[in-house]
Amino acid sequence: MTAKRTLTRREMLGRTAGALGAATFPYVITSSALARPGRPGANDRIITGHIGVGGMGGHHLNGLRENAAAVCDVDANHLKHAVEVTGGRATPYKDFRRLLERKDIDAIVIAAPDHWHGLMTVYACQAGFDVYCEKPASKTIAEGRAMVTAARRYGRVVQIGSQGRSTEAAYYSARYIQNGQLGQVRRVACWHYPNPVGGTKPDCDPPPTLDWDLWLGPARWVPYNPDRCHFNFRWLLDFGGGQIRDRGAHVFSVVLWCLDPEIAGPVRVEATGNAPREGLWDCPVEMDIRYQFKDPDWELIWSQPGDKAADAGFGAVYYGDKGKLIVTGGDGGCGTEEKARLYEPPAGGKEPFRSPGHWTNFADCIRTRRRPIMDIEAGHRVATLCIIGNIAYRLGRPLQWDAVSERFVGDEEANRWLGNPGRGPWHV
Amino acid sequence: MSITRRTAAGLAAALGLWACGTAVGAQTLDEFLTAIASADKDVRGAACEAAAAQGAPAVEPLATLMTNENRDVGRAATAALRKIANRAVRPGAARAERNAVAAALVKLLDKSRPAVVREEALYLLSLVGGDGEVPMIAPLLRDAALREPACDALIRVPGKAADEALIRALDAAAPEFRPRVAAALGQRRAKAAVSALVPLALGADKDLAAAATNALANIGEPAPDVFSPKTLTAQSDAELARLADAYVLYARNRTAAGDAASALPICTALLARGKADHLRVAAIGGIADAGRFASELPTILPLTCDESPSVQAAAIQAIARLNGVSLDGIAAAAAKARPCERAALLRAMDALGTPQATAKLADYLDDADGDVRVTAFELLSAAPPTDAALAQRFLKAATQKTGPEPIASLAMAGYLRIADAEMAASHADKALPMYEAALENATGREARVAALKGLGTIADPALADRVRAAMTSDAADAAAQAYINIALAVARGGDKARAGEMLVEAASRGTTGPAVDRAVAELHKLGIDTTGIACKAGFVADWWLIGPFPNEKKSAYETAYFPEKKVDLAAGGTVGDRELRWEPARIDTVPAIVVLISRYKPNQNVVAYGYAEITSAADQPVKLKLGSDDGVVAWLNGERVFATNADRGLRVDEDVVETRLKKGRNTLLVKVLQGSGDWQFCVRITRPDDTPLDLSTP
Repeated sequence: MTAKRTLTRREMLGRTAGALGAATFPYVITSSALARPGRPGANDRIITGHIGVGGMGGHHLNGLRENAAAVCDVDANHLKHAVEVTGGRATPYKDFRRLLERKDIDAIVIAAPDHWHGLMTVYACQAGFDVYCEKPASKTIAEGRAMVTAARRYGRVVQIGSQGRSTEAAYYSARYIQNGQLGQVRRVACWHYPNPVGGTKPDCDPPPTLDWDLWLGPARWVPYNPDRCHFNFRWLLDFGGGQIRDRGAHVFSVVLWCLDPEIAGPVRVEATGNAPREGLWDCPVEMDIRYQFKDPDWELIWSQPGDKAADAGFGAVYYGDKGKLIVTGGDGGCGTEEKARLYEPPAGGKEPFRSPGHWTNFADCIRTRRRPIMDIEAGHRVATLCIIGNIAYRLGRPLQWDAVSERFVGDEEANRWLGNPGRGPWHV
Repeated sequence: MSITRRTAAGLAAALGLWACGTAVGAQTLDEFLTAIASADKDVRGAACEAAAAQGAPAVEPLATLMTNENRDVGRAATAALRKIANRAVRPGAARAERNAVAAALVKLLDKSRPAVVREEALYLLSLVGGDGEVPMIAPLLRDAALREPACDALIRVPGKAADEALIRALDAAAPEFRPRVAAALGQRRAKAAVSALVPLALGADKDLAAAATNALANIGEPAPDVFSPKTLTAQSDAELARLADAYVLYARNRTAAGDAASALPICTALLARGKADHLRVAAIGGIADAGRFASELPTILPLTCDESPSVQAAAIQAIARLNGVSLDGIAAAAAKARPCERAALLRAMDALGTPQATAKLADYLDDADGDVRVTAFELLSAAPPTDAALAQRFLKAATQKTGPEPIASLAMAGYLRIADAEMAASHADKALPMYEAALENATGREARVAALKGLGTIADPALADRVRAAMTSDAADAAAQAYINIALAVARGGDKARAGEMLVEAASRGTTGPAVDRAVAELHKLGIDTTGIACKAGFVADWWLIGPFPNEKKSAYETAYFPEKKVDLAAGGTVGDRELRWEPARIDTVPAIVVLISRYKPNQNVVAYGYAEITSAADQPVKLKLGSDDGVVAWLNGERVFATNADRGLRVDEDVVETRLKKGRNTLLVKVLQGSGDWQFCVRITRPDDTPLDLSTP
């Protein structure tokens, strides 16, 4: 390996890792952060490619409009708008595989629907890109594990978009709990308002601007229906999987961050819920899931609506031997109690990583090659909670879970739910 | 909590209580089907929830209801079918129950059924089917409309029959579907398929060859004709990009099967051939799995100094993972390595994660090469053993200030971590002099913060003056936190009055943020009135406010509205057709931030003015410190002393103006500009040494 090689853009960015701080993601860097010495100039800007530019993807693109070199969506309307947002600079693609052939891009931002996250992340890693992927990390256990494997195999940085971990509130909460202010935490009870009932429109032909087959990708083929497409997919168990995945991915992310980021997983999961009695959407309107963890013994409860402990739509109460702590939200709007915010740990106490912001942390890691705060392994473990919770609900029976082998114990049928065979060429 | 109720219901269902005489479980099949077909959603819903116990006899009639013109009835029927299927394969279920349900589902595959029913039956068979159902599923691989769900089902159904059916389909399926079938065999890791897949992988049909190659990699059985250094080298760049993952996966699977001899040459060839850094990373990982330290180190070691950080990191990790790696082996290699490689070998040592490896790193603190020394300090200071001799070595390096620049700060960080470890072990007597030495010798803010945190943890009242002095340093917030801890210790000692004074001081002298909030909270706990603390902290807290004035296109920055000509608190003035009046505002928070956004409408593209009078005991130099969202213009005693038209968020004390107060009454006027978003400001006055001017005492 003595041949002299020309450095790629990505390698150039990495070489300056020691001297440089965060990246130039404009909407996450405060003016004070930009004022710090050593910030990269415009020439060091991280170039992004965006897959899925409606909804949350559009939000990301708005913030990264100066960075975006390529945009991709199966909806021509989304794509047209995305190109406009970038002032016409970004090249549009319908097929993300073509976007992944670009050599001038540093990082891929994936905000396609959940059922695409696994495949797109794996493909992006195989093509040598770092990835920011929206939460929840994956739709199935097998996809999540494949994402971790791909990231590790190719040495890629993969950040999952559970940005709650990067909030001040999560930092203060983790610091408070990890330094024993609650004693041993025995129970964490989450609350969230119910899933909606709806989906009254009939199946129909997709609009000419939408490639429905590509939107479905690896999912089982179903007819187009506006109530199962953009945004609404989250209310269907075969696609989004309800608030346990949409918001649970936020709340659980903060829970694991506060208690111990290394927690492998529960040993038992039990779920109940009441299915909607009309409409296309089939996620349970209300549901309760109980996860039991061992060594140490504690339980995590997801309840819709649950016992609302604060004036927030969702959150979690941490119950310990010595007290309790309420953490509201779990996404970018995460909040905590004043006692946690004002707590000052002693010298030698535990000091959790303090993220400079979710995007900034990702950009930092692109340069340092370190693992980000919501690394894909953490994202997969959080998604695992959501996934096995929904499986337990669908099967209607308690399940034993082996977090090491990532299989259910003594329930072969339940194990058939751990992966999605895929459709056509779309499988991991 | 509702969980108790619903959990109980769920458990009851799981235990089959519906079938044991409960009201719903007592439904006959006809009653059940009538309920499912009901237009009443609650009747339908209740029946659906209890559907599982109806078992196989309900399958066919439910399938008929799936296409009911009432879509909600169709959905209820589908949901009921799924419940029946799930229950039939629960752990401990009778085999006859599963067989009956599976047989009923197979009947739904008949061509006479609507496509939606046949697809659903295949989906459910994927979850409940076994060898016995495969012969009825397999022919559908030749049905263009149903081959995808049929393939899905065969991927999930366990047993040899599904393998064999898919192998047969490699020939029998339509050509365009064969790649999917090949991939399915890979997903199943069907060992029996290897002999059928190898010729396809070597065939001319590129899509089928790629699918077969990937499948063989997944299966991981020996396939040397497909995977070898020779075949890898023969691939075009484009093909290699497409198949590299298969080569890596195959190699890893062979290693896992104990066949490292096959894996290693493939990874070595990929390393030589791979141009992109991520492919080289993957190859290095494969070598780490399959190779031995003694034989592969010469290949890996140079990569630790590669231009790509990803490759560097992978190479370092690989060295620590190679079979037969040992601390002595790495140390021996380091003795002969060039400096860059030696530094990397230190990182590999560290990655071993043993106490012996950590201790060994100390041998390199005096290495002849600066980069190696820096690396040794970096690694050792991150998690140093609690060792007094090492602590002294760190302190010496931290204070010598010779050698490569990072060493002093790394050494100080290591020194403080040892102090923290002593503290955590309840050895405050050992930790105290270390924190004091660190505070005295620290050259960076980070070390000052850590030292002050240590002193604050010890919280000896004798440290009060020392900590107090640091409240004007760049570690002011940490000093204030430490000072609060000492104040609380004083309170515990019985002197609440003194503790209160100290807390007021901490709230006043800290800049802003958690320390100030905490001091105020502790004052409340002690029952001490906190009114006026903002003034003690130098904040201007008593204002007269007037607004909003127009600021279209940021025009107000240069527009002198009437307050700039004359402040008449009683008279106010007119803007357009609106009459504006001055209104008093007292701010009791610390810092004393005046929030304008909730005070005025409109509150976008506007400005407001704030007016305050400050009494000074003497003619004196001061610092006027402003923070604003967005811009601000300030006049002191009628003289314009500062102006910025920035679009920005508020940062306390962001702008500092060195000016003078005259003895007696001083007037301060500010114009706070607003584009969009938040709108607020604050003003603080300090002495030139940054200690706050107490504005609570005229």
